[in-house]
Amino acid sequence: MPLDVETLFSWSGNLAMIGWLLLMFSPRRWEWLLFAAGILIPALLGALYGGLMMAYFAGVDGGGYGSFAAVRALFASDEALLAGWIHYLAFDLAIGSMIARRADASGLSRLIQLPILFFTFMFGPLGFLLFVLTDGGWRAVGGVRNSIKMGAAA
Amino acid sequence: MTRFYYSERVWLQAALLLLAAIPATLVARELDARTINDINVWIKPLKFYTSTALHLATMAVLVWFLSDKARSARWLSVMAGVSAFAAVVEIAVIAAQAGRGVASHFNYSTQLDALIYSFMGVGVLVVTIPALVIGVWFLRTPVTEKLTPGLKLGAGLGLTLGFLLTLVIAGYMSAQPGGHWVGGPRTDLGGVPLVGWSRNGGDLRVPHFFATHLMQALPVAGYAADKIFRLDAKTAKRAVWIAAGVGLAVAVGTFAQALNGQPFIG
Repeated sequence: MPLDVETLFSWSGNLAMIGWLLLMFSPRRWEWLLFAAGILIPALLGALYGGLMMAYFAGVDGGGYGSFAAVRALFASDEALLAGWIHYLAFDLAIGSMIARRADASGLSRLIQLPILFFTFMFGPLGFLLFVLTDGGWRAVGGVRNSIKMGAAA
Repeated sequence: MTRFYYSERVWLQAALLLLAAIPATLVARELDARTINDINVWIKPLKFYTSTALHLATMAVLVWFLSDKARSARWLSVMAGVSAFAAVVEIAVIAAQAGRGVASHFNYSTQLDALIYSFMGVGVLVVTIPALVIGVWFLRTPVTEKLTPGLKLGAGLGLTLGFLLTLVIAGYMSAQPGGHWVGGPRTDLGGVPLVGWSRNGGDLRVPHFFATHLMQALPVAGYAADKIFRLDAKTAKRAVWIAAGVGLAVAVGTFAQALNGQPFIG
């Protein structure tokens, strides 16, 4: 069966998009929503990625991880390129849900989480960096202890 | 340690988020050869991260001195949330325009860029109007054990005067079709270190700087009068009034200087 990369591309993109909308906008009081966004959807994407790599990785001429040229050859294959894209989608979303959990624990406002998650969605590691520094700064100014205290008082 | 209320949290966190963008932007500045007005495209975002973070942090710190009732007020939370989010969007737009390699302010070259510029003008009002509101609040609220007389007057005058002068000066500047220069060459190359002001002609960013930073200078002056110099209430307030007069004179004086096409530091 010939693989329709365009269809799989748009399906996986839509799936990831659902996860991101849940992370950015859904209430956090239902644990299963975070589970769906952070575990279930990345795991489904993992199955698709795994299947693609098993079926096509070894067949790409000159493809591999060892050199820039090998990676370029790998991405010259539509199937491996699709797998690579799904890799981004799955891991960015998993990291996004980890960010959301930690941000909630630190007391980072949802209003501030929103741009952080948006940048993680659009530019993965840049969003991660923004989170790490914002969260670290917030912990350093003592906000975390205070928000925990507030949580306990509530 | 006193706990933070929502407005303080959201303002401080937005400030931290803006500062968090500095490291990656410094890398971009090293990698990116593109320039706007002859200087690297990423210099402007770096300046705006810093100044906007300072503004947001100032709001958070000053609100901390108000009564618990004021700090927990719903309207304050809403205003802080809206302005913090607007600040992040505003700065993201400035960075995005830098990424596109085009100017964010004074850019009428395409319909999109002109739309972005006018949208930014609205955005910056949303970011700064809380300064006026809270400044008036400081002027009207009674002195307390936490909010000492010099600080109360300094915050009140600093925020209101800083906002109004900025409105006039930055408003005038943004209405100039040619940018922030007056008279001198239209380049940002070779400006004063750090701030980048023109050395060869007038630069409207100079009075904008002195006007806007009254929002920090006068509260600090008031705090110092109360807590460091331990002046009595009457003397502390007099000191703040003098500082406000000096600040106003510097802002107006540098505005006149810039309009005359003279550099602040030649």
